Amino acid sequence: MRRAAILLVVVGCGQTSPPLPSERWFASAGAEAGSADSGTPPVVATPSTCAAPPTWANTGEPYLLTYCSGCHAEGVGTDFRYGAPADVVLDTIDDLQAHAERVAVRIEDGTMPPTGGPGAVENACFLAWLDQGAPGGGPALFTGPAGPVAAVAWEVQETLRSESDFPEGLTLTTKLVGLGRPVASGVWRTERWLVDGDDAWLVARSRFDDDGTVLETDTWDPPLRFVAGDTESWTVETVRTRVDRTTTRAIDETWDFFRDIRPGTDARSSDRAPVQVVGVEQSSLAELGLELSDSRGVVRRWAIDDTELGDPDLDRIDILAFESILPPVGAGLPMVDGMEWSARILGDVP
Amino acid sequence: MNRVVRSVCLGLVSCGGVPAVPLSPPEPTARTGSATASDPVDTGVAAVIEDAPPVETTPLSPVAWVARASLDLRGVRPTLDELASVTDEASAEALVEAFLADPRFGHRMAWLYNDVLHTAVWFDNSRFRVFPEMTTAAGRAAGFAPLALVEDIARNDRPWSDVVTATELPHNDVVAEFFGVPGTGSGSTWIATGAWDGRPMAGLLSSSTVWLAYDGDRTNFNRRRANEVSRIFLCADFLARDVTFEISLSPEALSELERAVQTEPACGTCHAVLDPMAAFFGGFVERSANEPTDQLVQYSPWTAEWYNGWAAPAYYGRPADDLVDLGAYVAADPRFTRCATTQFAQSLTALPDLDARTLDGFHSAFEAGDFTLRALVREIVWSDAYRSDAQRVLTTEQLATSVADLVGWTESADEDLSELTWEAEYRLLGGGTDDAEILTRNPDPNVGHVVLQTWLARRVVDWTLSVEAGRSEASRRLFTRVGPTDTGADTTALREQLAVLHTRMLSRPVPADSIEVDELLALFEVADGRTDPAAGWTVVLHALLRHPHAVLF
Repeated sequence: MRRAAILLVVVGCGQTSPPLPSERWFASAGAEAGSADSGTPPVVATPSTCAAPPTWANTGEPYLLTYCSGCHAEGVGTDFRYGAPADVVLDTIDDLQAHAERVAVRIEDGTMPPTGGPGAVENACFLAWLDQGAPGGGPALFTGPAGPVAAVAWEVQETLRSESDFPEGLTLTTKLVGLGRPVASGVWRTERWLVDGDDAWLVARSRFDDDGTVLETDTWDPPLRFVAGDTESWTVETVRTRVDRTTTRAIDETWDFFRDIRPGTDARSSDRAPVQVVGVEQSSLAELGLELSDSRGVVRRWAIDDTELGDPDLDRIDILAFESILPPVGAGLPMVDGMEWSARILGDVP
Repeated sequence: MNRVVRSVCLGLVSCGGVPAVPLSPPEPTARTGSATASDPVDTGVAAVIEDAPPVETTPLSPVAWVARASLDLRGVRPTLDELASVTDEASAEALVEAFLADPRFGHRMAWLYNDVLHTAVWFDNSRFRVFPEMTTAAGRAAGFAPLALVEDIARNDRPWSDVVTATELPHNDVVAEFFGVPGTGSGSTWIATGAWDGRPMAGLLSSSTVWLAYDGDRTNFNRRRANEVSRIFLCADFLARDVTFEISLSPEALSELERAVQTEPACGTCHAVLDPMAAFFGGFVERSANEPTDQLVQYSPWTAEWYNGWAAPAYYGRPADDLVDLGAYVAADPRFTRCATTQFAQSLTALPDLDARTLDGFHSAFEAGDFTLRALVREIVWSDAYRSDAQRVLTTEQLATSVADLVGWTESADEDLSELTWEAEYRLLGGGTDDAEILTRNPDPNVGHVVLQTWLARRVVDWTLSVEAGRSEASRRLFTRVGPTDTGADTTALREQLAVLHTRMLSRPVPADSIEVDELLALFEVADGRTDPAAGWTVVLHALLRHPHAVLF
């Protein structure tokens, strides 16, 4: 009944011609009155505020795209529909007609879109067109296959500082700052590095749970010589000691490292003689990598380990330092006390 | 020079040499109410200015329509011959049709579109102003680069969809040097250029300038850029939506807020569209600060990949891969061409609330013309809405190009008029925008125009008289009946010359025996123009350049 009342007003404005749907961008801003939370918005449509003749292209689809498609398109994955039922799809005029009654009711009672948005004129003219049977059909904006579900990315803050329990080197702390999807916070990992001029050694790495408790710590003895000045390749034979909550294990490892100067994967560092340093463990084929830039410091770090020693939640860690707060580091290894940068992890949930 | 002329000189022009007058508050100007009988020149100036015809109340005459169309489509006033050729509606239509074919049409459309895009003068009004590598020329070139695409689309009758699908963007060496990217070898000439860093090319969606102007920060994940795409190309500004919702969150809980944005249906009203669209822009630097320029303008496939992980790129629920897909979706969206229709119609008619039927008519012509801007603009310029009698105010760009054309001002002169086009202080005085803080034009004439006209008159009058005096009679631009230094010209010749100046400079033809010419002649004579022609013409040119109709059209 409420729908009928609205339509009567619209029709009353234009008895000499059919009711004329409108579009927000063609309607007077001054005529855009009312909001969803105030109940049924006042209808102030006049014939000239609506397109004529009304069609799918000039009235139906623009309204649906602007206010409905974000949640009600077929291609929107379940986790991204904000609760919209999977079977309520409004991509085409056929889709719309299949749900016409429901669409009209939800617009009229102000429950869709959930927070309002369309003006009174837009609503009235769209509904008038819908009530006429949605004439002037046409093709819909092309659609693709069901959309991919986004991978998960995390945002982290990394700091490189000298700490009291490791004064001889620098501790890299990776903290989840939780602005990505999904959200979490807390220290995730730490790495301990020795740095001497252009050389650097990875000494130990720890992973923490949400409460800040150490889940496991790996220590390499001798440390993994990760950067060795201008040397192009080297091998490190070491013993990795894994300490977790219940066990301590020693694993013999042999790492082959190579240093390569080539354009990096980040275009923004490609003109800065980036250096990639990659180490591969001979038995497990676990991989550790660094990409360094003169101007941006460590622009990328990664770890690939799908063995039992890898992160159980994350078989590939790919950290991009997208915004560095770095002092000028010149041509040397850009790892100095006090450095910090924002970074993002591409991968699954840690 | 008698006392009266001396006072004019001090008040209106810098005596001696070519003026180089900085912008300054307006000199007190004699107005009708305050002029005294002992100030005959001021009284004369005031008479010319204040006795201007009242605002027209009838639809534009063919002559006025031609003048308006000339300024809108070419940026210059119609010539004397053109005005003389307008004898009826048909002759006016033929002229306007010719204006549409003018080579300057594209450039005018580009500047119109800057009222939507807001990049042209942005660099000079942004933090980039302090970048040592940004010269004035570099900032202007980089700011205009996106508009150069619009210019090319308009001039060459390319479909409007090219604005979001073109695989090449205008580029030149000035921009290249500023941005620190490969050049073209073309100097300042625009050359269509593909990507230099592997970025997907999709017209303005791939423009470094656009995404420097509309940067993000690390907490909005490029949602601002998504909204700008929606605002610029679809006329659907999320920030302008009238939405109401309640949500209870700790202000400190950014993570909580972010979770709500991604899960609460109330937030989904906007974010269901914004977030997947924002994911297209991960390859551009999020925040335009604290980075060297050459780093800022690079596109990074790597950060693009990261964003794909944060939220899958999609267009209103349609999945996509990159900017090329986004451009294709925008171009196919039924709102896209209607949005452009509205934008150009509002700019050209200065009417913000055109009714839907009128816009439908424009859009139909746009579509019938294969979505070329020329087809759209032709329909708009021929419409009743465009030909309404409401007076419009020239933009500072129009003022600069039209006055330069009137007096023959060239870049070889010691100073040009580019401040009017490119500098915020001048643009804002003329009711324009600065592309940074002020983004909406003031459509009404105001005191700023008086200041601007005074400045403009000071800048060009002495130069004009000097240059015109040095030109042969056949090549003079304004003084076609009497030379600016000719003494002894009879009254008939003086009247003819004054009629020429009035007609040409205000686009309002008047006969030599009109009241307008009477007033100008009185002004010329009271300035002692009979014996000192330069003094007389100086005052006359000042009066015309400061006339209300010099900025109203």
